[in-house]
Amino acid sequence: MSEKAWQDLYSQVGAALKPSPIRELLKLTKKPGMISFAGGNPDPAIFPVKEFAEAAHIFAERGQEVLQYGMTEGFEPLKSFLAEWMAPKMGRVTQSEEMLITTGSQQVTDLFCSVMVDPGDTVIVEEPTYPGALHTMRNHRVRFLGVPCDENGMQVDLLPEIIGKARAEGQKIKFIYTIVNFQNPSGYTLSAERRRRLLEISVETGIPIYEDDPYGLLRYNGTDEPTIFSMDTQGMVIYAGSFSKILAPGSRVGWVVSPKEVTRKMVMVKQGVDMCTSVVAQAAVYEYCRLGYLDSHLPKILDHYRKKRDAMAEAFNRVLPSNAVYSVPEGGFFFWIRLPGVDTKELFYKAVEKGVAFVVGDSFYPYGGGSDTLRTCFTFAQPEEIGEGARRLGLAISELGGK
Amino acid sequence: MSSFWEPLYGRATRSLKPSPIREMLHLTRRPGIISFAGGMPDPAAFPVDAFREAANRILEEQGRDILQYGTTEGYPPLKSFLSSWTAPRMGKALAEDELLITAGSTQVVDLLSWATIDPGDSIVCEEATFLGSTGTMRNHGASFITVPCDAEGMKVDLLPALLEGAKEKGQKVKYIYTIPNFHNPLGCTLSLERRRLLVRIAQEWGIPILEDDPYGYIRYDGEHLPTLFELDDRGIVIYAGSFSKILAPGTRVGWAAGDREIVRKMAVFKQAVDVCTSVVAQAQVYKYCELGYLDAFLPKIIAHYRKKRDDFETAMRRSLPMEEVSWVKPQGGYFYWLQTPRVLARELFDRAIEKQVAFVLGEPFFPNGGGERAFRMCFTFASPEQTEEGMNRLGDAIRDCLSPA
Repeated sequence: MSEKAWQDLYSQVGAALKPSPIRELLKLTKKPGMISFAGGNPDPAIFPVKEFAEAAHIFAERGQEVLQYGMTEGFEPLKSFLAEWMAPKMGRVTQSEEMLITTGSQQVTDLFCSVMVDPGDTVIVEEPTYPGALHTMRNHRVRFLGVPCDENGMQVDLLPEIIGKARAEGQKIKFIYTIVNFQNPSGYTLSAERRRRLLEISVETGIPIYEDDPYGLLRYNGTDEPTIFSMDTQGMVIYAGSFSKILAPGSRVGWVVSPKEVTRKMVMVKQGVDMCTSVVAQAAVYEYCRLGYLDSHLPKILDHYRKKRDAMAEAFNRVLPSNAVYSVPEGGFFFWIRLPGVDTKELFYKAVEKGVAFVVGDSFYPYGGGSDTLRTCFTFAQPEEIGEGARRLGLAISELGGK
Repeated sequence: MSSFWEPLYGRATRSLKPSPIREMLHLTRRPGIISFAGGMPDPAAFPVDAFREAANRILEEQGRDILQYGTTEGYPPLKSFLSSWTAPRMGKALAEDELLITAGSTQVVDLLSWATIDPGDSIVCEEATFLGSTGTMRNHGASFITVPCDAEGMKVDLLPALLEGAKEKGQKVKYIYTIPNFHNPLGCTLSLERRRLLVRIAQEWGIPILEDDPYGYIRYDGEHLPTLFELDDRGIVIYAGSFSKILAPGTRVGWAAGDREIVRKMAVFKQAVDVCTSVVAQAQVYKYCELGYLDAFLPKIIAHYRKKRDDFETAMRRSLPMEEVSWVKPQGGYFYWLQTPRVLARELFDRAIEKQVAFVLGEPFFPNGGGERAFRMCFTFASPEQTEEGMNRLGDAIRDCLSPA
């Protein structure tokens, strides 16, 4: 059929759907010699390949079970492992009925939106925020309300006014989406005080919180802040976790913990979305955890990435212009840099010419913005590439007239 | 807490219902129950050792690649394997951009529905059809136009009038959903003549067909019929395939084949729903195929289930009151569809559960109502002894319904 014929058949979201601008820009970076600080990928060099392969013996021991259709709710042994393992973070051992295993934490956003959102409803997000979440929410025809961030994360003090104004306009606010630790893209961590305040506001206004925490276990220095979930006594918070950063994204195994009735609704939606998350993937992840590798390997990952972060901090300190604004993240994957007076889209093309790639800041704003910002990922590039990539970036900036 | 969350839910959530089959499975897991209910493969037929070998080898050879994020479109080696392996059935080797790997074929329905359905739009389907699919479509706001079926599948000649009627009422038909081979739940197979006619009508009307074919490779007798995809020369057919029945459902690996325009659109939606299908699972499935096990085991799986179907048929003929029930012997797949003109399936179900045997009621398969005197039984899951005993119990339950004590 012709493109035109398909156009007539598309849904409204289908017709409006555009490929992600990040993915389009990334295509330009697939040149030999390119040093990429762009994608948010882990370093495959630190994947526990041998240990994961060992875990595959579960196929021999429980093959008939794990090759069969699984429960939509998830592979029960993995759920009970997670409930115990996450208890220090969650403040308690959560119950099986509160937890749902998902196909990565991306799926949590899709399921939660399916449960909560009617077209035109409002979701509160950080500015900047993770574009993958924006993409999913956009498909559900969400209207965004952005809250600015600083080094302590979302400026929650602004919330009451933002909420009040939106409600006065008749907006229906369905939830607050926040990446609490080492946020993507800013690297910021929401302070303990702000977490408490955010929860207070959530209770006062009756707006639930979606606490997305894929990076929470990747802290390189400083001390952990309590999860918002652990502070919540009223069932206002849903918490999403993922094995993508602490084991391997290729497993596509994540999870969500939420009040039982919400979990139950998400389970029903998941039945129609993919029935259940790959049981073979869940079982291999479970066995890897059960053998103790999650605990024994995590410190290695932390060391590996801490060094890379330090290398990038050191290189940026050397090559970025003196008016560049950024802070060194205490965990996660990303540096967020503001270059006053520089259009980072222009800079992108210049940088690609020089052989280094990053993501333009504009992509992280629901309705655009941040034209002088950019994100660099420090986990994927090899140590020797980090210094050289930074040098190329510095060169590109100075050629554009940055100071 | 329900007082807090309830008013915040979206409209669709308020009418969201759990899949009746999944719910019933809880009931049928009770000890002592012989279940003909769920449509599950026989775990005894799973190639456990071969899969384990494949899993180990691919992790040794490609560990770092397959633990990383994959491309949304699918693991390239699996795609090229599928392209050549499915070529005889598809009528050509699929190009890379005509193929999308999905989390089972359920996801094909979800992604196509994302791309096409606005609330209130219509989907054409068989009068009774896989309720997982209609559930997914309903979550996207679809309503249904149903087409009666007989032993040769959908009565395609009725379609033009139905489409005309929909057009007059201002209904927008977004696609035609059909399970052409060994239909779930009806067990019937769409005849060649009707396949040709269906494709012609779809082309004339410019309405795509979603050809859902999870059972197509599990044929016990007769010759394979050409796929709708092969019969179509205009890119109007989207074909959904799955490893669930030819390897194992726990992998959750399926695929969509179709016009590159719609495949690209579905891939962009897939980015938002799960980024990519588990690369670990895809790679293990690929290695299993590449080592030749798919071709080696498929005949065994077919032989295993053919025998089960034949045992089932024998048991039914022996134990059921033949004048009260009718069915069409399926040439493949998983299901028998029984019609009981004098017995309400709901009443029969209660009596059957009392006697410790379970099946699935006909009604939930009918998106627009019907099927009160019909039910589905799966013959692949129960053991031969269970089949024989279960059928005795079912025969008694039917007789009890007809002459209540």
